[in-house]
Formats: sequence, structure tokens, C-alpha cells
Amino acid sequence: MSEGSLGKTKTPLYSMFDVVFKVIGWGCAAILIGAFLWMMASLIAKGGGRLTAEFFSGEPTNFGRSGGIGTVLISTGLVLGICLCLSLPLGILTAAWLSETVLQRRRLRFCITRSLDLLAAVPSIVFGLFGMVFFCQTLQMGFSILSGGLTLALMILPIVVTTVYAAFESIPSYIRLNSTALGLSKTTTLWRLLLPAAAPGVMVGTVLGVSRAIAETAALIFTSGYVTRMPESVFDSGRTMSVHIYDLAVNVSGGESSAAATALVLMAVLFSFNLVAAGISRFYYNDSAAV
Amino acid sequence: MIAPPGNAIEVKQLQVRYGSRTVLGDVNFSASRGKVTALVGPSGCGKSTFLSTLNRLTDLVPGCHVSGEIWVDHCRIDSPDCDLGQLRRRIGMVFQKPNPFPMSIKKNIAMPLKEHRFAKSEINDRVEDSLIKAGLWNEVKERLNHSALRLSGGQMQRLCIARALALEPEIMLFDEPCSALDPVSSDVVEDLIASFRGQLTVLIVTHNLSQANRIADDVSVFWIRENTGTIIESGPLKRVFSAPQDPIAGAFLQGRRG
Repeated sequence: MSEGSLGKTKTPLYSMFDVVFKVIGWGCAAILIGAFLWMMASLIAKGGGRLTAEFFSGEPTNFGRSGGIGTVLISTGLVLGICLCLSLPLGILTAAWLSETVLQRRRLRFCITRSLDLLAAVPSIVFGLFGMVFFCQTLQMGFSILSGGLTLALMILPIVVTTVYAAFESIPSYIRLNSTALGLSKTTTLWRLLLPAAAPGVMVGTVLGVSRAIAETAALIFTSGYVTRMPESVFDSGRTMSVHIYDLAVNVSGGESSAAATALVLMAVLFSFNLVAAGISRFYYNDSAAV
Repeated sequence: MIAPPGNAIEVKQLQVRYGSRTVLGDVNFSASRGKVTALVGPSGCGKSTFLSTLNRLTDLVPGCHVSGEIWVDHCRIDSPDCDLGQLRRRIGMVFQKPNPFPMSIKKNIAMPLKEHRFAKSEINDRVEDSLIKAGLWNEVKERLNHSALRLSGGQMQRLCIARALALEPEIMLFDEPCSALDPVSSDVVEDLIASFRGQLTVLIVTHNLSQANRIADDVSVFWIRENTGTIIESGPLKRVFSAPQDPIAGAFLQGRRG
């Protein structure tokens, strides 16, 4: 066979497909990245100039057209803190219980996972109205950061539970087998072996939950309210970043630059959450064996 | 530490069902104290299931139903008031795949010790002692705080053995402990198991008949009859290999069946 015979063959069909899919793939990636860059560019163009030290510390003035978002940042932190304080322990324990003890009762597990899926699909405005009736009125917490945080906790609970549950399910069964064979109790198995193994999943669940919570407006307008002053306690009303952006964009003419600047801060916060989570789970995956 | 004479394990009319499928039936078995008993037979005839009834690991399997009598040291372990933690401390188990926990070598052994309330001051000594017994001490004494997952396969398996030995068991169950190891590591682990003779009651499932021949005192042959696993022959190794009463067992042991 001569050397040239390979070069003379016609381009086969599959390599044409390769080219087509390559173009489609790169095209999709370019559209995605392009959209993101466009959005960031327009935010920076509109609001980049506002990002000074005073913007981060000051109180909004003139309905938010001028001034800063210091009080808004603090309200956001408080709402998120309350939300995570409730949803993380509750979510992790529910997931552990689902995966480790309900195993044998298929019908019960089916009911619980189905209702979690349903809860995850409930629009946030419904959670907002529920939170207003239950936390603000029935439990008499009023329009407060506490009511908002608790409402958000209920809203992100399904996300946390399903992610952490998936993490528990993916733990290799030999860990449970060895642990039982050594006579370790279920509690020890859970705390010392299963939770560390599920830690990356817990991180992912936390980040997904935080991202959903920090982006939320509808559930908060009816529970935390939107006053811009510095909250004195968690029983005070407060405005989160997303609510601030929504209010500036919808109700305040001339508030675009403030809205864009706040959006930039929000993006930065989300981005750093993702980085931290990715870092932690990389640490766990690479060195899951570490002491 | 010579064990008193008598049967450490006594099993009568054992039947195991997974749902409606009977995997083991009509199993009668006894293991003498301080001896090594090999469980042999083709795959899928219930040898591993049999082992896991003895420390009630079968409890973990949904739909698994065990009936019959299982006596360990004149104590019925299939009764509801059996202390499972204590039972599993007294019966160590090592699986086919060496799987230490994802933590340091030392913690692998120390954690079960703490769980079983061994005195805190003794834990370091017991870790060292069990690693010596498992023939691993000299290889790992410099890196006790390193991850157990960085050991070689054979070392991991010996760590699993050390982990079980630290709890001072009277009985050790081995489920094909050498089949996932390279030949050299396999020999090391085999010699280690043989060295337990006289001190521990050992049950070992193996597919390697020459291994059974080398280390066992007694042998039980499992076979499938009417879709159900059962023991068709058991007794002292020499007698079973040279003059089997069951013709199928004889053919299997000579390599003509299975």
C-alpha cells in the first residue's frame, strides 16, 4: 500500500458531523459568554462610576437615587444569615433521615421526595404570601428581617434537601457496611463518616440555596418590607439588594445608576460564593482522605 | 490467649430469604473454637450471605428474612434482645475489597475503639498493638497520621484486619480477603490469617481451593440445590478432601465441578 492512499480518500461523513458540531458548540458558548459580557459591560457602564467607598457604607438617599447601600448590605446579610441558620441544619438532617432511615419504606420516601419536588416548583410569590400570613400575622413577627429570612429558608429548603440527599445517596455503600460490621452506631456513622463524605454536596446545596435566596424579591417584599434605614434588630423591617434593585428599576425614575451599581455588587457576592464553594469541594475531592 | 474448647458458632436449620427468593436453606453448621474453617463453593451459593447472618449484617438488607437458630458462644444472636454493638465487637469482619475509612491510619483504628468505650489512655497502645498483630506496624509507624487511602491494597487490607483486631474479637469472618490483592500481598494476608489459628475462631470464604488447603483446619462446601444454597459437606479438611461423602463435593474439591 502506498503512502499517498490515505490522503486520497474522501472526507468521511462523520468528520463532517464533527465540524458541524464543533461550530454549533463554539457558537453556543460564544452566545452564552457574549450575553454575560454584554450584561456586565452595560452594568459597569451605567453603575461602575458609583462604586466608591461611600457607596458601600452610606444609607440610600433620595429614594435610592443617590447615597449608598450600606444599610441594604446589612439587611441582606441578616436575611441570608437567618435563612441559612434554619435551612442548612433542617435540610441536612432531613436529607440524612431520608437517605439513612427511610430506605426501607419506599412509599413514604416517594411521598416525601415528590412533595419536595413540588415545593421546589412553587413560585416565590406564593412563599411570600404564605410567609406574610404565617410569620408576619399569625406568629406576629410583623414585616421584619426575621419573617423574610424564615420565609426564604422554607423556599430554599427543597433545593438544599435534594442536593444533600443526592450527596448521601452517592456515598459508596461499603462505608455503611464496614461501619456496621465494626459495631458503630448509626449516629457515629452519620457524624463521623457519612457527613464528611457528603460535605462537597452540602457545599453545593448551600451555594445553590444562597444563590436562589439572594436573588429573591417577591418572597421578601411581603415579609421583610422595603424600608431603607439601618435595621436595629432582626424584628425591624429591612431591604435586601434584590428588592433594592427591583424598587429602583420599577418605582424610581433616575435610579438606573444605583440599580446597576447594586447589581454589580450582587454579582460580585454571588461570584465569590461560587468560588469559595468550588475551592472547598475541590479540597474535599482531591484530599478527601486528609485527616 | 488459648481459647477454651467447644464450638464457637453453632447454626441450626438456617434459612435466609430475600423477599420471596430463598438464597440459603437447611443450613447446619458448627465452627470449633480456635480453628480456621474455610467456606468453599461456586459463586452465588450464599457463602457471603451466610457470613453476614453471623454478625447480623443481613439487618441492613431491606426485605431480608432470616430464620433458624444461630448460636455464638451459647448465646442466640437472632433474638431481639441481642446486643448488636457488642456482638459486632466480638465478631470482626473483613471484606473482599480493602476499604478503610477516608481518614488517617490511626483514626481508622481509634474511632471504633472510642465508640466501644475503650479507655482513652489505652487507645494509642491498642492502635500500636493491633498494627503489630496485623504485621503493618513497621510499614506505617512513621505515618500514622497520613491518610489510609494512600496505602497499597495489601496494606489497606491489613489495616482493615488491624481495625477489627483492635476491638479484641473472638471470631473473625473473612469474605474472600485475598481475591482483590496482588499475589505477594495475598500471601502476606494469608499467612496473617493462618497465624490466628489457636487464638481466634476464623471463618474464611475463599474461591482458592489451594488456599483453603494451606490454611484451614475444617472445610464446608456450599452448593446450590433446588435453587437454594446449602452446605453439602463439612468436616476436617483432610477427611473432606481425601474421602468426601458427597459425590458433588468430591468432584468440586478435585476441580472437576464448579
